[in-house]
Amino acid sequence: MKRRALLAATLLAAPALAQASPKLVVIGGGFGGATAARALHRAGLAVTLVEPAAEYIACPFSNAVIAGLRDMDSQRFGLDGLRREGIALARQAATAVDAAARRVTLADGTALAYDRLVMAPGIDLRFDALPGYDAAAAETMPHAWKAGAQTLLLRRQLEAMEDGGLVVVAVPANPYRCPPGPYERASLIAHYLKTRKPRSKLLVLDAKDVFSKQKLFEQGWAALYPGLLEYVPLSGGGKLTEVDAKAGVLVTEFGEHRAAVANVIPPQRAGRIAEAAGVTDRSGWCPVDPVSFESRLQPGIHLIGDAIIAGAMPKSAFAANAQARVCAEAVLALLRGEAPATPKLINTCYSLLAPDYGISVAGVYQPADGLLTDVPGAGGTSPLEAPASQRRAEAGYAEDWFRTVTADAFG
Amino acid sequence: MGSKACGEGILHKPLSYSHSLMKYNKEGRGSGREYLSLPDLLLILLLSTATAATAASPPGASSCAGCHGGGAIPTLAGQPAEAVAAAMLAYKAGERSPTVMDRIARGFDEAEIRAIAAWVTAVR
Repeated sequence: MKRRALLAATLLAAPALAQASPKLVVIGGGFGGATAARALHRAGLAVTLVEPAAEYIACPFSNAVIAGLRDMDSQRFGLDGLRREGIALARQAATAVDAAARRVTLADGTALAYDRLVMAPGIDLRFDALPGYDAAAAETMPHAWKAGAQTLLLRRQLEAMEDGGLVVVAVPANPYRCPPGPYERASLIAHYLKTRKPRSKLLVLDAKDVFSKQKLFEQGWAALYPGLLEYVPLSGGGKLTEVDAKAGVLVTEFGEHRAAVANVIPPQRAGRIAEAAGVTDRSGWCPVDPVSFESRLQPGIHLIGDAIIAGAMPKSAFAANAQARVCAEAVLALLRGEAPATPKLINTCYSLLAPDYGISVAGVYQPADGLLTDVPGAGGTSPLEAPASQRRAEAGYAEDWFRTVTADAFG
Repeated sequence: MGSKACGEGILHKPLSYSHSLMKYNKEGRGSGREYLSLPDLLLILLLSTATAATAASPPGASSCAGCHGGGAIPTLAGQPAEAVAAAMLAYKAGERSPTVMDRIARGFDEAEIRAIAAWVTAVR
């Protein structure tokens, strides 16, 4: 504490700073926002984190909850740890951001002034993109793409389904949160069906032809779930054109499917506050400078995580956590009146095909041509040819990563 | 080919601050790392580089903490920097059994790897 106070005092005395006490506001208490708030606070700055929920429910590993392999409580992370460290929590939604006045408005009308704002707004599901699929339809055909009640709803539907039923997982086109997530989910649902309801069938309807870790998934599906899991790509008629949630019908370009359980993952966009702040472009996502993560549309606002257009870097919890730390350093540099250093960032993402069968993709990224681009020669997936011991080891690494990244973000 | 292309022209003069941090960390580890002396603080301020231990990491280094924290993925703080650099260089050369680390290490040149190793092994 003493060291931190000294550092803070020194920082605040620095002549490069425009005023005595820079105010930092972070919107969003997920992996990106929590990590950024802690990094800025650790540097001795006064930070207010705006987040209406008392706890964050993590998406990574929520597919294992759906498949009955994991308890929901393992996904819950309270924000009290951040408060105890000295981060001010505003437990309300941010409803408006005035970039010119550098002010965030909260649901109760309170205004928070800031010198720099970090937004980690996550995603919103688009209920205007697929005919028939709105918020009400999601109560019958869960998306389960924000972990929480929807996760448990899908799990209960699977548990209630009679053996022999058809389960459908519908996957959107890019970009969306967690590129390999739908295929991990399909794998773990297939595992559930294989072990509990073996006469059932799983159909994966995809709005694209190419996906993350595809060869590894297809190899694993052929080995683990032959005859149970069927994958239909865009070119095979996999794209949904309409749903009828009441009737349990999913319509594609090539026909109709009547599902006992339907998991519809709809198209997405940046979390709503991003649009209100004027930091989204016509795509619904947020363009940023890849060095500072400052918005290309509104000065003084930095964005991280799933909401941003990050080039080659995927929308993942790992990426949000890594971007948060780079962004925090950039904010500190800018407050000192310096140019942020050009970063490199890493992403690693594990997927489970079964409880003891993990695969991974990794990448290293650097700014180029205004985006984060792959560092040539780096990155890639687990090898196609690998012994069961390596798949088991990667399943273990996934658990270790989750423990570490959640401790890093939430304390 | 990839290893040459990855670092050159990208590295953005990280050396001045990484050296000052390394120095602080070496001293700090031996004798009560919790407190910086006032002269140290003034030095840091005069150099106008790192205002805090969390600021100014070499490219790539701040991503490591996402995974490295225990279990089968070792904690790096407090490890010998030389050993971490040697491990990363071996991964990069394909001389260690592959995990994600071979794929990650290929994204950095040797100077970047040494700077990362110094930073991530420092106890903060």
